[in-house]
Amino acid sequence: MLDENKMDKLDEYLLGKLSEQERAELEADAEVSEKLEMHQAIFDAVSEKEIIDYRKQLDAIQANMDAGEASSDRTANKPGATVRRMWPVSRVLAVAASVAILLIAAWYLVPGSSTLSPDDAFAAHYQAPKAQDMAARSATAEGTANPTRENLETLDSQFRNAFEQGNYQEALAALSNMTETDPDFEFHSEQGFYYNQGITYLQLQEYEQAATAFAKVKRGEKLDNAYWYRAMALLKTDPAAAKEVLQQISERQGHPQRKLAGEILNQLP
Amino acid sequence: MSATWGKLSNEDYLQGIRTGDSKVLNSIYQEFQPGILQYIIRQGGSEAEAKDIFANAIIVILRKVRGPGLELTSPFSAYLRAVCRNLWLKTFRTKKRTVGVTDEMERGFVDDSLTPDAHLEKTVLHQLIREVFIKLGEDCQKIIQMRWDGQSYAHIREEMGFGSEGYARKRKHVCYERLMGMVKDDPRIAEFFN
Repeated sequence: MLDENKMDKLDEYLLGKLSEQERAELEADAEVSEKLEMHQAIFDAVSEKEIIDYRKQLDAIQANMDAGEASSDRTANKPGATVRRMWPVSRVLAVAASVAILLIAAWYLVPGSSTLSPDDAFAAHYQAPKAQDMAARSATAEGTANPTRENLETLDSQFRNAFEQGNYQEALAALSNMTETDPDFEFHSEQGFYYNQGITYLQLQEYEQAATAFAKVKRGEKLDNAYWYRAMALLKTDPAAAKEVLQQISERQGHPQRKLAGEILNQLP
Repeated sequence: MSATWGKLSNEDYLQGIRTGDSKVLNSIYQEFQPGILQYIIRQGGSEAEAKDIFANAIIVILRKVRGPGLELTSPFSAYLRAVCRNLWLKTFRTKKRTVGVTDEMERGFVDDSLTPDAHLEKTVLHQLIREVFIKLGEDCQKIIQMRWDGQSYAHIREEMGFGSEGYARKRKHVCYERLMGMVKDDPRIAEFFN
């Protein structure tokens, strides 16, 4: 439990009132930093007034809809009302029910009514890879003698640091230098290299190059991810090819996005 | 609105969500909610969960539409369904871990894959935290809110009619600790921090 002084400091931190140095000090305090993400989430959730008001507006619409349904249910169940207005009410309800059934059926059955364009499928399902999505090593440099081996390892560290800091051009350059450092690089067919190259291209929104890089991943722990990201990249550049890859994912036993790929396929034109 | 009779364009829907236009929001509820509720309930969700997911989906789209580059080229309905589906997957996955699911649910819905999405994660997490927050007493809610509006303890003392600033500070401290404890104990929220 934080003491009152630390709690006050935390409030000032959350309100953005601390200096750089004070912020750094608080973030270095183990007692605070342990739950800092949670403190921040609580503060954000309680402080985003605009979203809170918006949600209240939506809840009011929902309440009105529910009240409307309840009131029409009551009207329909009132014996007197039913007897007096049996013909017109039943007729209106019958027509309304038919229309509703047709609309629901149309929503599910009419081709194109639930079609998602490749761009929108990408927008709905793509999440940019994060640093932790990288392959553990871009180059194993198996069978490579020093100093080439050490150079590759240095370049891999450079790649990793640049990627983590969001310097994707620099990260890409470090990868490119690997192929120049080792004349037999292509021969080694480094799976981590192609995968990491693919996710870096994705970050740079260079989808065609990303898809090409992912296509070179043929095995290893990132194979399922490579399939998925390749499909996402192709949604932006070659929807027909994206559909083929999604088809492969949907048939791939144990792929985490197997069912989702099938659903996206059904929605694509 | 560039609507033809009885039908809004994608831009109308997105603009309506962006500005909180009640006519457009009502129309979204009337047109699309029944089908989406049916879908989620068929997958094993409750009606209350389905309604919550629908509202959260609109908030997710609000966050996206206020950011850069959301332009739909397919029907808004399809996009809304995709967002609702992802929110349902998130709910389903949490349920599976925290309360277990019935055989019937498992049969109907075996895929718990989910594409992570920052707007979606934030919307669900914040909504869950707010559900916990409103379980605090009204006084506690007020004190915390005033403090996070940047108010001093002197102001809180005056507003709440407390005897001293020190007491206001102590109350805020106790209230926040209680809130933090409730948040930590909520398994649905804990999922986000594991």
